[in-house]
Amino acid sequence: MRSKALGATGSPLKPVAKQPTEAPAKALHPESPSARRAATTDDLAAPVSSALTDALKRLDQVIAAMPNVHEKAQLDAVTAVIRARGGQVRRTSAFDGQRLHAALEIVPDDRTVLGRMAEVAANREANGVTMGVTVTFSPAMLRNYGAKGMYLPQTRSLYLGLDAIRDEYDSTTQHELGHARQHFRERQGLVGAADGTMRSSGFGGLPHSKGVAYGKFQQLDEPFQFISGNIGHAISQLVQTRSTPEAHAPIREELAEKTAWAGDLLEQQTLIVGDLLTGFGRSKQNDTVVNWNDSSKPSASLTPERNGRRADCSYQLPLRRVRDRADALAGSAPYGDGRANSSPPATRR
Amino acid sequence: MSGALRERHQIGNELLGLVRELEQALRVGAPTDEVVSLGSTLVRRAAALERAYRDDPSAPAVSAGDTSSHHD
Repeated sequence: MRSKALGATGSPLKPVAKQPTEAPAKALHPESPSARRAATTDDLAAPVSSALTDALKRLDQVIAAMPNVHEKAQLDAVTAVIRARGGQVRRTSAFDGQRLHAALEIVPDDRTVLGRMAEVAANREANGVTMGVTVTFSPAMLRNYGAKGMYLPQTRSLYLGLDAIRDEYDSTTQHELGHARQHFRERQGLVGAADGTMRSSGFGGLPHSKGVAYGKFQQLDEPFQFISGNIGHAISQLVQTRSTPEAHAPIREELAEKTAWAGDLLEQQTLIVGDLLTGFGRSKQNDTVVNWNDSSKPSASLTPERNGRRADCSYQLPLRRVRDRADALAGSAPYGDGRANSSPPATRR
Repeated sequence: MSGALRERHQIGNELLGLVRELEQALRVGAPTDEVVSLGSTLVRRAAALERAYRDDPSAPAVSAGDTSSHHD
């Protein structure tokens, strides 16, 4: 797999020369769409504020302190790749004691997949009607080098994996983008919503397990269903075998596995809930057609609805995993073998 | 933030906390009664969050309202 270039040594990707940005604004009519777009880019090119610089320093400190060299490298690599591929990116960070929050801002443009996604997320590449698609970097997929991305219709979220960022014209990514486009067309009534043309592909980073589609984060309430069903069942078994403690060990083991997975699912959910808290994806009346032409060509359909908004792309790295892996290295791991990016136990698959 | 949103957020955070607590209890070999108590609370709160989603008309569609078909 080509992405091994990142993971094998744990060293970040070598940054590529930044792509050319937009045309200078001064040569354009101030009210023209092109001028507005250029002004937006100029705005993004403004010096990073001191607060942002401080936050970036804190983020770098947190990354430097991470015991897992691969996850550390991944976060570094993601920002490097986005800088190279998606244009200008800023990072802000916050560490709340349990999770690292890093906000990435991507310059909307019409030359790269990432930039075009940002266009959509910034309500730019649409037919003048407010719409919402958010671009999110999925920790699960970032942990899985092969993952490309997925589209969640419930939240109109595009989840990008590392490869989706790296291979901006990759056919798989285009496939997912096609689903997003199809979804909007269906909502708009332009295309019949028949034959199950909408789908959400699975999270590449999460393996499947017995009886439960761990790998498919298809529904917003899946973590809760998972807890009610799987953990509820294990708890019932513990209660039923109250008089035979010798039967508890395997049940407890299974419960520990399921609890760990519930935590993972909830962490994924946090990303989406975070979007929802901003009001994203709650209206069903603002759907419109995504005017998504061939991404290899500059879009001819850019509307004057350029408002200078940028796409906020959240990346949250669950430090619990890092801590658990540190525990594993110390010999007290709840699971895992302590290796970076190690697969969960086979029983979870 | 609306009351319903705040409630969902609160329950979601609580759920994550409970999951971690249960993980920790299992890890340290806590008595089964304690595990059952924690697990039962977790399941109850998960059900509450699911209800909170379903009962809030402003919440995004969850599985009950989703007719999309899924395939790989």
